[in-house]
This record gives sequence, structure tokens and C-alpha cells, in this order.
Amino acid sequence: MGQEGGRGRRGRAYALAALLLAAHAAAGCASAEDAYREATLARRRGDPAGALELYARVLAADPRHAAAHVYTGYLLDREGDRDRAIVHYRAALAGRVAGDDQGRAVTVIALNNLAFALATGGGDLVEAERLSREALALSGERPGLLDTLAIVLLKRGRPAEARQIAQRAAELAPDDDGILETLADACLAMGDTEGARDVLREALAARPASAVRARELADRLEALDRRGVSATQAAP
Amino acid sequence: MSLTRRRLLALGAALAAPVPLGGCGGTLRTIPGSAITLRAGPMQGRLVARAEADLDDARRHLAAAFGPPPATPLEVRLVSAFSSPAGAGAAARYLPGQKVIEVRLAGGADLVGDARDFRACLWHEYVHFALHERAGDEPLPAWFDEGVAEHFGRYASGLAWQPDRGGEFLAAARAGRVPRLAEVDRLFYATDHARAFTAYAFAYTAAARLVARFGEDAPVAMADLVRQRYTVGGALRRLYATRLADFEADWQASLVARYAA
Repeated sequence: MGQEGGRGRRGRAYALAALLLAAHAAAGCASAEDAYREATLARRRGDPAGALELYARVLAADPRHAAAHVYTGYLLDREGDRDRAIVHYRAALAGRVAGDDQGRAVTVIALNNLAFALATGGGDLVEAERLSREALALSGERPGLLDTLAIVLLKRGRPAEARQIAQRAAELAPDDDGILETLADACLAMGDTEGARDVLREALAARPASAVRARELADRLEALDRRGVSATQAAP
Repeated sequence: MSLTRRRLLALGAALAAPVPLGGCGGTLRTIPGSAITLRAGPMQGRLVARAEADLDDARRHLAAAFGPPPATPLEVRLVSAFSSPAGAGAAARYLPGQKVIEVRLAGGADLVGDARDFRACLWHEYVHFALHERAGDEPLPAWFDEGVAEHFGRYASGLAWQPDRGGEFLAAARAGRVPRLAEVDRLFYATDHARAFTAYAFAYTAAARLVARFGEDAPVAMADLVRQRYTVGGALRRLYATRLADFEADWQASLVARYAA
């Protein structure tokens, strides 16, 4: 999970983390649970370093605390430490709790985040697709999960499928600039530059949360416009 | 995103083990013709009767915009302290996972503030219940969740909207500093009460604008689509062909037009 080379997927990462308190593991000693609560508060305060330290305490007391593993992985991923993030996502999956709503929520996030990390970090794309589809099968379609699958399929060189899935994600969440950017990527991969341009314009119209993000999208659109002009000039 | 944080808070509360309330000699009463159970401690019979009347009013009033009341059982607890730490600063809260409303009573017996506040709290929390039921307990952004609860709950219960009591709302609106909806969501997690009041005030005005533009049934229609995994923005687009960003800009402009000098 986390950001992909400055593409600003932070929104989607947060959206998926939405289930995390629900996923708070029932097992564990009282001190681990106290530390877990404190860690969550630290994360909310915008103190990732403090949160990571507290999650480490949780895991020291309860090495199978799946939610603490997922959050640790998520925070590490956001910091760019993808390798360690993957270790924690895998640990969360190893300790998954079957048949429990909260355990299932943790599992879905771990599956999705691991799939995203593998797909965008040069990992095993076959495994990434399997994980991503498993997350969707467990949770039902959600925009963020569909987006991850679209990204995986793009990486696997299946842009038509990716486009179809990204379109569905964009229908459910038409204001998510990360999802719209995935759809633009799928359009480009299929040679539909005009379609990509339209989607990027829509992403800008959705007023991205940060000026940096808006600039990134505007730059991409401008680059496509320049390419379009060049192509027109080159035409006979 | 703050909607996430709001959801985290709500679900975190829902996960906590319920604390037995009422105890020996406490009151447990089901509102006739409803799936609502009221639970309170001993010597709170009058409060329970008042709560019953207020909730019955809320159910009837809300039916116009929300349709028939949810059939899901709801427990309303009048408590001296919440059963878990989440939302500790609030007078009342709704726990979606447990289908429980807790109203905290000052001193264990007095009403929250006064009778009007008590009624407003109950209506507000009941709207959360009804809205979450329509949304299938899918996450809702705080501005939407709280704003709808304020519009159909607190300010439909008889309490008058007073912009000057909305924390920093009036000063911000007068200065033309209307936040984005995502920023309103973040304000709900402020530690000081003034900023939380500000968040409720902005959220209320956003929900009121939504209803003014798209009709009384708009929030419920949107919640129905959220149940189908649309975001609130996705629901707005599908139902009313309107971008969330465009609605947001319109709401911001409406506040500036109304309050800015």
C-alpha cells in the first residue's frame, strides 16, 4: 500500500485502512490492547513514528496481533520501506482469523495491500493477482480493491480487463483521483490517448485534496496534450 | 482521510464489550410497536418515559424522509458513563456494530443539559441509526453522517439552529474561510470542543444544502447507494449527475453569500 512513486495513492490507502479498527484482534493481553489503542491514537494525531513504536510493543507482547501487523506494514509502506511492509502483511495473513467479521476485515486489507505492494514493487504478479482477487471475493466489490486489481492487471499486460475493472471502480468512486489515474493508465495502455485525457480532466475537476496532487495530474495531462500536438503535426 | 477516522472511531466503540446497565432494579422497556428497547438504571423511570416519547416522535417524524423505521432491534441506554473510551467527550453516541445508543446523564440522574437537549441528542443519535441501517453499516464520511443527523435530528427536534454557537463557524464563514468537506471531517477529531462544534456546524450546513438542492429524500437515496458500495460522491453523481467537488463549491459559495460581510 502507500504511495506509488509520488502518484499520491494516499487516499486509497486510508480508505482501506478504514476497516482496521473493526479488525482489531480480540486476542491478546490487556497491555497489548492498551498499546494498540495508543498506537491508533498516535497514528490519528499524525505521528507515524510514535505509532510504529507502539505497534512494535503490541507485537512484542502478542506476535500474532494481525491488526498491528497490518498497520505496521501500512505505515512502513507509506515511508517507502516496502520490503518490511511485505513481511508484516504476510505475518498478518499467517495469523488470520477465519469466520470472524473483524478478522476478515484485517485479512482483506492485508491481501489487498500485499497485492498492491507486490505489483508496484516488482514482485510476483501472479501472486499479486491471486491475492487481489481473494480480497475481492472476501469483501465484495469496493472501489479501492477494484483499483488494486486493475493495477495488477495492467502490470500483467492485460489492459482491456484492467480498463473494465477500473471503470467500475470509477463508477463507484468518481471523485477518487487515484482510481481515475488508474483508468487513464488503462486507456493509454490500450492506445486510447483521448480517453486518457478525458479521464485526467475529470480527475482534475474532482478537485484533488492537495495542490501537489493536482499539479501531478495537470502535468500528466499537459504531457498528453503535447504528445497529441506532436502527433497532429507529424500527420500527413 | 477523516471519514476513515470517523469510521475507525465508530467501529472501535462498537467492538468494546458492552457494560451491563441498569443493574438490579433498573428499567428495561420496549417501545410499543417498535424494535427499540430502553434501558436505564434504577430510579430513572421518568427519564425512560421521556425518552420513549421523544424516540417515538423521532421515528414518526423521520418516516417522511427515511421511510418506515428500521426493523433492526435498537437498544437505547441511559448511562452515567460510556461503556468504552471512544467518543468520551460526547454527550451521546451511536455504536453501529452493537446497534446501541448511549446517552450520558450528568450526575447519573439529570438530563443532558435540559429536556430540549436530551430530546435533540436522542433524535440526532436515532438518525445515525436509521442512516447507518440504510447504508448497511458501510462507512460514511463524517460531514455527511453528522450533518444529516444534525439536520434531521437535532434541528428537527425543536432546537433552533444558532450559527453563533457553532464554535468558530460564524467567524470562519464571515471571513469567507469555508473549509473543504474533507477538512470538516478532520475537524471532528479535534481535541478541543470549539473545533468540534465548528465541525458540526459546517456539517449541518452542508447537509441542509444537500437537502435544499436535491430534496428531503436525497440523503437516504444516497445511503442506499452507499450500501451498494458507492462512495457518497459516487451516489451524488449517479443520482443527481453532480460532482461532489461541484456540490462542495456550491455549498461553500452559499455560506459565503449568506454570512460574509
